[in-house]
Amino acid sequence: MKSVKNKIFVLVLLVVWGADNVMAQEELDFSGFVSVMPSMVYVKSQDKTSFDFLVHNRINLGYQINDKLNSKISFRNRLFWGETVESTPIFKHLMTNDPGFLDLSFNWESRSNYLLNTNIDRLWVEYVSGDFQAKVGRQRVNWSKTMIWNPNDIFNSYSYFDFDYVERPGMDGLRLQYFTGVNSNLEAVLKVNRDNDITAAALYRSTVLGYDVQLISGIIEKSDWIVGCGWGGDILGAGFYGEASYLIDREEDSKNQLLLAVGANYMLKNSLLLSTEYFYMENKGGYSGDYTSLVHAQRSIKNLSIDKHSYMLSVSWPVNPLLNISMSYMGFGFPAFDKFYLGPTVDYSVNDNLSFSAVSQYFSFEGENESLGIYLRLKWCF
Amino acid sequence: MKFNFSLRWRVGVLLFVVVTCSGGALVAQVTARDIIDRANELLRGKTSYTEMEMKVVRTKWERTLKFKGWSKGVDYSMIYITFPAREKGQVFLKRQKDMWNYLPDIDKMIKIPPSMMMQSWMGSDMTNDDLVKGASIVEDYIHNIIGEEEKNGYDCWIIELIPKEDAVVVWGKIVCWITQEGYMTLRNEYYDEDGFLINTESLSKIKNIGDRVMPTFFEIVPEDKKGQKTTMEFTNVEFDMPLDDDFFSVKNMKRIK
Repeated sequence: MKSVKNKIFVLVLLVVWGADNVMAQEELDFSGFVSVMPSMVYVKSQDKTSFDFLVHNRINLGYQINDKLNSKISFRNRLFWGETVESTPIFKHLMTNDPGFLDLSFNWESRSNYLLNTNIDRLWVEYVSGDFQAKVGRQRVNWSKTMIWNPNDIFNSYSYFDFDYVERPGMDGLRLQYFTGVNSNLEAVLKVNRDNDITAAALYRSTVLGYDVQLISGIIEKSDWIVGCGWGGDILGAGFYGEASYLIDREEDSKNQLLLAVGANYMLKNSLLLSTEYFYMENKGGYSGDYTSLVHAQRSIKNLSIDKHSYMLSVSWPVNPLLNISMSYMGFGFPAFDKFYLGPTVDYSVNDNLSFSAVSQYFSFEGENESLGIYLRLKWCF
Repeated sequence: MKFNFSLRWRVGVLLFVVVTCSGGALVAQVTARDIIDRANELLRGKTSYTEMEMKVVRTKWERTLKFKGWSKGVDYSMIYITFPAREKGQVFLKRQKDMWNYLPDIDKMIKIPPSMMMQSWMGSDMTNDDLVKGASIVEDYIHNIIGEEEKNGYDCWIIELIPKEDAVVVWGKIVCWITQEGYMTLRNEYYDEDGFLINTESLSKIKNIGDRVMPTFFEIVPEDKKGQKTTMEFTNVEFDMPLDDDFFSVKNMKRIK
């Protein structure tokens, strides 16, 4: 266990370092947002509706130390207030639960019905020289090609349903990149998690016949070897992309697991965007779950979905440059229609920096386990 | 939608149609195609670096987009968004007919498929396709000088552009006013296939920007939409600096600022 004090020390150190040394210099890059989001979630099995309020602030601080050295810290401060905090005693512990090597999530203040948490999700230094670059620290290594299920995203899996976290989590480790051509590169990444388990993999990416293609190979924690590939390109004008990972259990062959996601999108002349994605997950681990697993448990590529077959259909329409409406349908199981998700959203740009979103998430699992969430968010970017 | 589509197309032509030939002498026997080619070159150069501010104006709202752009010929370009804050840091790379979008916050590279080429670029009146087809005003049309006229104090040729039969273009006809001295485009009129005027584009704020004299402000007004327009202004521009093809790479896409 690393202490909260250590984390605070890191934060204070960084802020002081930032304020003292780099303020007012052009090399400093400062950005972020503040959002407020009231929400209502109804859960049928508990016949209960929870009203909550979230204030979410993100700060990104980038500092170009010199020609070859770059650094960045990003963190999010969230104030949770409402019935979820009140009725979930474990909530404050979940929030400080950082799966990384560094424990960079801590609660400033925790009372019966509110909680103030800070989570540093980027904290890195990067060395750049010619075709080579190395980045060490907490960072996001995104090897994904698909939109919903990402079996190649082996370092920092995330939940699609966590729509208020587009930046997505980072991981702790080292990333080496070597650019072998204008569109090709070689990468080696080493990740260390909270339990000092190591995930390490290499990737080669290039463009072949108009397709971005990648091959990956590595080891995931103590348990598995992985080989995989991903692609992004087009067929008949439609975007066509996919990812496959094959996990080879180091002890039992029978636990080997194939994960495959394939997707396509097509934009009509009126800018209506149609997307679809299919995900196949050989479920040797006996993993299953309800919608709460979908929302909360995607910390590993083995838990990307809750069924062998998952599919998604979505329509997104920019009514005008300010207003976008979309609807997503996800089904779990085949050919069953009794486990599904529906997610309509409306996004409206109030002005250059202010936007409003209305998001709804409806899960239905065999008619019994239903949940409806409605979220209204006002977000100001700076 | 049709309006938006055509407006975007036009803005795109404009944006990527850029320059050379400052204060060019009046040539007695130039062809219409030469004139369009030179006008195009004037706004484009062999290579260019531009900082631009785009405003989309509608009756009830207005949006601003600022970006930096690097280009080499019509094949290579890279664009870095600087405003608004929500989009800042996004990069677009074009190499020949391929286009990528890089989202630095989530470290994601997306290859833009052909059907998305008609998508509004960053919510503006420009499409992704506009970035790719910058040369079509020269290659895809048959050009004829149809008159001469004084415009804003400059003697201009009036040139009519009719699309070639096999060209995949949006317009039925384009009419351009180009100065006889300096090959500056001052006005473009865009007509649909039935011969109706759809958009009028005016170029102004003629400035000496170092190695050439050129308009630095573009205003596009649709014919039948009161109160709507799109404007673009070069806030900084340089031409013909050395830029390798390799500059337009995935590596630089992740490093550019």
